[in-house]
Parts: sequence; C-alpha cells; structure tokens
Amino acid sequence: MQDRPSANILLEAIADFLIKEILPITKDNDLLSYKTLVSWNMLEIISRELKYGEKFLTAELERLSSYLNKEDNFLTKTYQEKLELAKLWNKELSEKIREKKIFNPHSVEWNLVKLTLREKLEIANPKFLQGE
Amino acid sequence: MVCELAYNHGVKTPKPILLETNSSIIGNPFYLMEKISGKANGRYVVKSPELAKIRKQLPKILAYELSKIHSIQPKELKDERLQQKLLGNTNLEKKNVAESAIKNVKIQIEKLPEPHPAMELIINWLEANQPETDEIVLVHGDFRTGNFMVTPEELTGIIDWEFAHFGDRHEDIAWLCVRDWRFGKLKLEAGGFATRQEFYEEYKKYFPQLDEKKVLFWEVMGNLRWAIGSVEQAERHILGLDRGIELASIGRRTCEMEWEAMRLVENAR
Repeated sequence: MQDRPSANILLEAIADFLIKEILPITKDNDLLSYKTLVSWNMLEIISRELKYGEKFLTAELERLSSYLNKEDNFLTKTYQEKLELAKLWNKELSEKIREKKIFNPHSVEWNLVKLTLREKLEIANPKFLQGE
Repeated sequence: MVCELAYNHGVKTPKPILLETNSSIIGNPFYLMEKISGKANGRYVVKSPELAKIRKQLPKILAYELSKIHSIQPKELKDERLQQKLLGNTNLEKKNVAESAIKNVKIQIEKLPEPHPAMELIINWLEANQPETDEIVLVHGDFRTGNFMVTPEELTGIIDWEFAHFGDRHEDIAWLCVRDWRFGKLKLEAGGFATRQEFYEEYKKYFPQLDEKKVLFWEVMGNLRWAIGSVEQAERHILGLDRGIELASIGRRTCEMEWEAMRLVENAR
C-alpha cells in the first residue's frame, strides 16, 4: 500500500497545474495551447480508468463469457490477465460476427458491442454520450 | 498532380508551383504551392466571432467548389498512370466504387493489432447496403472543415489533396458531415457551419440527384475509415514511428467513431 495521496489525487494535481498555470501562458501559441488541453484530457481519461477500468472490464468479460459459453473463472485473474482474456474473447466475437454476417441493430451481438462501446466512452469521453 | 488538375478546372486552391520527385533533396519527394492567406483550424472556422459573416456563406461557396471538383472525370486525365493510381481498385466500366472501398477497409481491419467487433458489424452493414455509383468523378477525399482556408472576407483555398481519387461524389458530401468535423457544433451537421439540408440544397443546384441514402452509406464508411485511422495513428506512436501527444491520445477516440457509425445505422431503419 502506497502512502497518501492516491494516484487519482496526484493526477488531479497535475491536471489542475496544466489548466490553471500552463494553459494561460500558452494562449498566444495555438498548437501548444491545444497540446496542453489534450494532455489535460488524457489525465482525465487515466483518472476515470483508475476508477472504473476494472469494473467495466469485469462486466465486459461477464457478457462475453455468457455469449461465448465460456467456463473460465476470470474473477481470480490479475488485471493484466483479464485484459488478455478480453482481447481473446473479443477476437472470437469478431469472428462470429464476420462468419454470420451480422449487422441487425436488434441482434444480441449488436447490443453486446454497444454496451462495451458505452463503457469505453464513459472512460474516454463521457461528454460524447450526452444527449444519447 | 491532382491539385494542378483541380486548379486548372477553376477550383479555388493554391496554385501549384513545383513538383520535385527526387527524394535526395530533402529526403522525400515534395511540392510547392502558392502561399495563401487565412486559417484552416477547425475550431477557429466554426467558432470564431470574426468569421460569423463568411460562415453563413460557406454552404454556398463550398457547394460551388465541390461541384467544380466533381466535374472532373477520369477521361480528362491524359496521364494513364495517374488515372490508374486515382482509380485504385475501382473499375471504370463496373463503377464498383463502394465494393472497392469495402475491400480496402477490410484489408486495413485485418492489420489492426486488436479485435474490433464494432468494425465487423459496421463492415457487414456496408456490404449489405452498397450503393451504385452513377458516375465516377474526382473526389477530394478529405473535404472537411479544417481543410479549407478562410479569412473573415472569403474562402481562400481548398487544401490537403493527398487523399484525392476517382470515386463517388457522395463520399465528399458525407465526409463533410461526419460528426468529428463539426468541432463541437453538433447540430450544424455540415462541417459545424450549416445544417445538412442547407448544404444539400446548395449542392443540389449543381447536382439535383443528390441521394441521401448514398450519403448515409458514405458517412458510415467515413466514420469507419476514421475509426481505423485513429487506431493506425495511435500505433505510430506506440511503435515509435512517429511519437507525439496528439497521436497517442487519438487511439482512445476510436470508440467515438464506432459508436457514431452504429448510431447512423440504427437511425437508418
């Protein structure tokens, strides 16, 4: 266990520094100003991933496991092992979609994929989903 | 050179001055164009108060420019090698533009480092909904906000011709409407400066047969292409081919384009 502050609080401190102290001095340089905003945005992504990443990954594995009839007990696996498994099962899902030529928005596969995309967006850019 | 072809057809684009194919001079082939005034930055174009007046005229001006680009046909190219390069896999007789585009994105998807089930669903929809191309014309290939220069008084030039090819005119119309090129002005679906219908009406003055179903196909295709492009750009950073904070961040935006393509398909029912 690491000492305080938590990784999230450290990230917030960097994000605050970029927005409050760096961004104002880049206002005459469009590119630098843009890159500062991109950097700030990436810190926000990391912060959300630290909060929700594992929860979403587990939910994705549960859906894939049910759809692909898998019996692996992934709950005891490490985060890295879960990522590898998600990659493997998404490959199987992709192959099934390709073989069966699925594109019906009412299909199980369509909804499965959309749920995962929604969770990716919740971390990558939650504003994107506003109004959906 | 494609931009020279466009320039000679009266398209407002910087005058090409020199094409140097010898790689030994600066390490790569290069070309020089006339310097023009204005800015192309997408956020500036859709949001700057100083552009309020010209923004209102953009649907009319851009529809006119696009119609001039789309008036250029393969037969006008004397250089057969360039003609073939601009046609790619598309056969002039078969006019199989959609089929050829699908084939190309499938090859790209195969090369991606991770599986993307969303792309598989989208490609299946595209395959089942291929439109016919009535006429093969020159397509700019990256006709969007961010790729034309404006001043508060005028549009000074269309730029970035590297994706130009012979294809279907609806491809350019759709690409202009792709969500990402609205730079936050989401309700102004044509490039963040006009509604879709405003732009369509202006373009229809030159081509009344504009087909919204074909635009839909090419808009879904556009989002898929940009989703693939975002993965590829992030890979350049990951593999160390071209490092940069923008390239690194773009990979996490892939899901936005996948979501948008699926949303378009859902709304098309």
